[in-house]
Formats: sequence, C-alpha cells, structure tokens
Amino acid sequence: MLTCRSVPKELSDIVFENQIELELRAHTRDEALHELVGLMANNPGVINASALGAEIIEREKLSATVMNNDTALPHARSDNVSEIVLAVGRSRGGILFADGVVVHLIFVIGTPKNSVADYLVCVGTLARLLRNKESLRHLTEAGTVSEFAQILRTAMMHHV
Amino acid sequence: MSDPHGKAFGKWEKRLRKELVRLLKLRVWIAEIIHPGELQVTLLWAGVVGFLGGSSSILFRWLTRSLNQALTRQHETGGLVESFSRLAPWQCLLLPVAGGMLAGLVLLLGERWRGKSSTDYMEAIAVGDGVISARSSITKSVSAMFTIASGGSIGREGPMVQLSAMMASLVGRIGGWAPTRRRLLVACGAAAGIAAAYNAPIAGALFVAEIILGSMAMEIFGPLVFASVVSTLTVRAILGGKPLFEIPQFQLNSGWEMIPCLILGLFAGLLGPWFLALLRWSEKGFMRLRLPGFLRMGMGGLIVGILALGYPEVCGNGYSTVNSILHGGWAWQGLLVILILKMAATGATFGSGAVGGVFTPTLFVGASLGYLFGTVLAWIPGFHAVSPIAFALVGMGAFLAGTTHAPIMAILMLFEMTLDYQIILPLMIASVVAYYTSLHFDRRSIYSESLKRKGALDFRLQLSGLKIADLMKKSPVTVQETARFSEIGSAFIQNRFNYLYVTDASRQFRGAVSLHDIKGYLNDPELAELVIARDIMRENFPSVADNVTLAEALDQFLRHDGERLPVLDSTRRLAGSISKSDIILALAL
Repeated sequence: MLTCRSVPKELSDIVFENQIELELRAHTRDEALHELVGLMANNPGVINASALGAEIIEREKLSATVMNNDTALPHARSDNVSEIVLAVGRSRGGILFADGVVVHLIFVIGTPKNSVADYLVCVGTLARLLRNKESLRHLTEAGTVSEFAQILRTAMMHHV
Repeated sequence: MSDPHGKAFGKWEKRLRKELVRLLKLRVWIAEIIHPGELQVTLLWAGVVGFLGGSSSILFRWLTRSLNQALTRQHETGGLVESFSRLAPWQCLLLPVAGGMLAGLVLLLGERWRGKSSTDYMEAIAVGDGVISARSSITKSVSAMFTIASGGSIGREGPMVQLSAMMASLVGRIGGWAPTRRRLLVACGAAAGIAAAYNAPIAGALFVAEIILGSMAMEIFGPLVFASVVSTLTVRAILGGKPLFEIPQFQLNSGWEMIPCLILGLFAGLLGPWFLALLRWSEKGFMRLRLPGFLRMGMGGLIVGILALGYPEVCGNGYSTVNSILHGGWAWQGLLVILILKMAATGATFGSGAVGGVFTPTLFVGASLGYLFGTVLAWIPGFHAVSPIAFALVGMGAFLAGTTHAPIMAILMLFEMTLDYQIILPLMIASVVAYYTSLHFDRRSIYSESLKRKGALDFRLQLSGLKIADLMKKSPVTVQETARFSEIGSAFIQNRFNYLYVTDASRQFRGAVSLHDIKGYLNDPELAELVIARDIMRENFPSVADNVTLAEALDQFLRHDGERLPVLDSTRRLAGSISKSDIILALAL
C-alpha cells in the first residue's frame, strides 16, 4: 500500500494491462465510466464494481474532473475498493464529458476511504503527467496496450 | 491578446500563495511539535487582558488625580488627605457635596445612555455570559472618579477592576469566544485589576479564584495568574515596582508572640460583621430617605465634608493614613477618633450609593484596630517591647479575612503589599482565626450580598442544566462538499483551525477535512481544481448534538483527539462548534 510520496515504484504497480482499453466503445460519459470500471471487476482490490461505478458517476456529476487538455480523471474514495485501483481508456472519437468538453483519455481511479494521502498522491501524479505535453503525446500515440502501460509506468515514476 | 499586467498580477498572486502555504506548513509543524490546545491559547489572551487591565488602571489613577487637582485647584503631589488639609473649611465642606452630586448626576445621565444594563464584573464572571456593558462600566467609572476625586471615603479598586473586566469582556466579544471562555477572560480582567490596584499579582489571582469563582482548578487559575502578572508588570514598568506599603523590618522573637496575634484575629473576626452591618444599615438608611440618587450622594458627601473639617484623614480610600499608621507615632486617642470617624465616612459614602470599592477602607479599619490593639498590649507588663506597627499589619490581614471571608487572599495580599516574610506566621494565624470568628457570627461576606443578588449561589444548579447549545461557538467556517482544493487551502490559510467542516447545500453536516491529511499537498497546483472537499473529507467525523449535557459531550471528546467538535441540531444541520476546553471550564467553575 502507498504510504508516502517517496515510494514511486508502488504507484506504478497499479497499472495493469487488462485495465487499459485503447479503443473505448462507449459514446457517453456514463457508458465510458461503466466500461472502464467493468475492466476492474476482476481486480481483487475491487469489492463491488457496479457500486464503485455508481459512486464515480455520482462524484463526476457533483464536479467534473476534466482537465483542459482533452483528458479526465474521474475518481472516488470508496468503501468498494480495498486498495488503489486504476483503469485507463482512450477514445479516438472523444467522449462528451461535461458542458461541451470532449475528452480522449480517461483515467478512472478508486481509492479506499481510509487514506487521504494515497488518494492525493495518485490524483496529483496522474494530473501532473497528463499536464506534461510529451507524456500525453506518447500516451496518445501508443500503438499497443503493453506499450501504453510501459509509457504510463515510466511517466508515473517521473511525475510522482 | 495577452495582458502583461494581468500576467504579472497572476505571478505575484501565485508567489504570495506559495509563501502563505509555506507559513501554514510551518504553523502545522509547530502545532504538531508543541500541540497548543485552546487552553494554551487562552493563556496568551490572558496576558493581553492583563496588559489592558494594567493600562486601564494606570489611566484611571491618572484621570482621578487630574480631576482632584482640577477640583481642588492644587497641583502639588500627595494624597487626598494632604490635599484636603490644605483646603479652606468651606471648600472642605462643599467639595465632597459637589463631587457626590456630580457622581450621582453621571449615574442618572448614564442610565439613559446605557439603558437598563448594569452588569458588574462579579455577575459577568460568576453567573453571566462574560458580557459586561462598556457603557455601564464607563458610566460607573466616571461616577466613581467624581466621588473619589472629591474626597469620598471609598476605594478606587472597584472601578479599576470593573474597567479591567470590561476590557477583558470586549476582547472576548471581539474574538467571538464562547461564554465560558469569555467568563474566564473577564475573571482574568478582574484579577488584573486587583493586581494593578495593589501591586499584588498573587492576591489578584486568588481574589477572583477564592471569592468569585470559588475554584482553584488549574484550567482557571493558570490564566488568572498570567493576567495578574502581566498587569503588575505593566503597572511596575510605568509607576515603579515598590511595594504598596513600606514598613520597618520585624522579627518574631518567640513563638509566644503568636498568642496576641490570635487574640487580634478574634477581635478582627468580631468587628468584621459589625463593620459590614454598619455599611448595610447606612445603605438602608439612605434608601429610606427616598431622595433622587444625586441628592442622596450629595448628602453622603456632606457627611464626609463635615467630618473632614476636623479630620481630613477620613477622606479618600485611607491609603495615606494607613501608610502613616505603619510608620508609627500615633497616639491611641487620636487614632481611635479617626477610626470611628473613618468608619462613619465610609458608611456615609458607601451607603449613599457611591460607586467604588470598600477594600482599601477595610484595610484602614484593620490597620487602626491592630495598631490600637498593639498599643494597649504594650501597656501590659512583659509586652512593653511589642510594636503596634506589626499588629497594625496583622490587623489589616485579619480584618480583610473577616470581611471578605477569603483568608488565603488576605494573607497573600498583605505579604505582597509589604514584601515582609516575617509577618507571614502571625498573619496566617490571625487571618484564619478572624475568618472562623466572623463566619460564626455572620455567614455573609462583603461580597456575598452582591453575589447573592446576582444569583451566583444558584450557579452550580444552573451549570448542571447547561446544554451544549449554550456554550457553543455559532457560525463556524465551513465549505460545501463541492468546494475545490484551492478554496480549502485558502480556508486553512485564513483561519487557525485544524479541521474544516463540510456541509451540503442544505447545511447538513457531511464531514471534516483535516489539515493534517492534506498539509503536504497544499502547494500542488494539479490538485487545486481536480479535488473537492468531498474527496478528502473524513465522513465519520464525530459530532455532538446540541441538546446533550456537558458531561455527555465530554464523553464524545474521549473518542476524538481534536480540540473542537461540530455541534448538530436535531436535523443534523451544523449549528456551531464546541471546544473541549469550554466544557472543562464550565465543569470546573
């Protein structure tokens, strides 16, 4: 489990290839979030995927998590996960997220309720690496899931 | 088009925020090392109150002296007695009358200005909510100033304490503190006032703890001591640090010398209730005249004026005469006459309704009684070497204990006034004997009338029924659950709390954001817009219902390491916040 920012290796450990979808089928925000949470259904850290999905959608409705570079970081601190979990989706066509904002990269994060620090490290790191134009370009251009995962792991270690 | 001014401003704002966050982190770091609770912070404020109390006492002294000089047209230094001894007989007679009437008129006019409120400091500390009307206090103080400056036989410590307590009440109100803390601050103000009036910090703290609060709990006594010390230091810095009375050194030669002290204590304890009865009798007598206040007080002044024609020593609080007694050389006949006349003058001034204290006149009676006792004792074979001055000192303490029913305060006050340790043993014996003797004849002290009138004796009953809603601080700073991380950071920068309460749109309590949880990330610009309060709040944050008793609320604090808890009404709306210290203070009082 993550306890402090000085252990970057552990944050990149939450990247799993089977939780990355480079060609999202969804067209709407809620569809995309369900699709991504569905990827995590078999993750032992997820206790109840559908409940987690509902929580993330509810949180997103409260305040959108879109960044100003076509990316979004939907997240929730939830009792339905026992450790930090991450699913990533890419949509070439884009998905309408909020108020006309279309996003192409979506990072869904679920963190347990007991640790605010882990949550802040995770969201902060991902936001920082997505803000980095080079990292974002590499992720957008990645051809395969394993290539995407590798780029993401490396970038996470750099931006933690 | 880019705006260079806007860009520069944005850059400057960013830098400022960065610095503020750095300061906030430093504060959290210091807080985590030192763990200052609200009680520790109260101690600091007690110091501020002490400074204000000392300063207001100096101002009052100066104003009274200036007014006296203006009324008597004399500019020589010296006390009221000296100034009256230099006056022509007609002036001696008329000045207290004019002063009394002016003091009465000030009260009459003040009533219109201040309305019905006339809270005094004892009420504010003992039963009130720590609110003292500034208008009422100023009116009373100005009135007291006229009485004292025109020779009224009354002490100036009363208005000094009232002013000091009023300052403390203002500090408490401006700070928006809960009633218990405000009450403690007012108590600190009163202690500071006494300490400043008598250059006696220990007695100042003990006066309030022993007489008004009836508690020596450290949560209360600590701030009282702090305020007293700062107040005394303030006065000493400006007026000098000499003890109030400078006396010759004494030596206790034999343990047998304690026996006369014990007998003096007995006499003081017998005379104490008589003196108080005289004051009450005089008050009733004046009330029976059914005269308007200013005429009544003018009449009180007339009695003092008539007495002052022959004996100017009856004027004022009696300080200069006590000082003279403590330097000896008095014939017993002369002192006996002055003692009787001084008691009559004090009865006339106090009874006519003048504002002021009877503390210093009490010291006068005690000193005279002790001196006379010592003189008589010296006539007895084997006792010819005793010093009447030493008995005057012991008499002061004993009579003070017999009238205030606060022997510890009396012992320490005399010690602080003289700074003579040799006097302590006889003083202790005489004070305690006087206290027990006085208590046997009358359970009422000099202050119990005022405390009884204000309902202080029912205070404990009131406390047991206190609910959290009576003590809580209303309208705490909150954020909505959609508040962004940047807004949360700003709230922590602008306030001094460690938990920020989170509510929803209908003000229902949702949880609290802990500064400890987020302190390491306050500078992270990526989080500023992405994270909202709901993401980082502690949802199961403990809370207290507004209708529970203090004991039940204290129980909740056992499960929480913080200093404050949110208070929720029956619909779980956030009504306020309650501090652990306030509950402890309320239970300790």
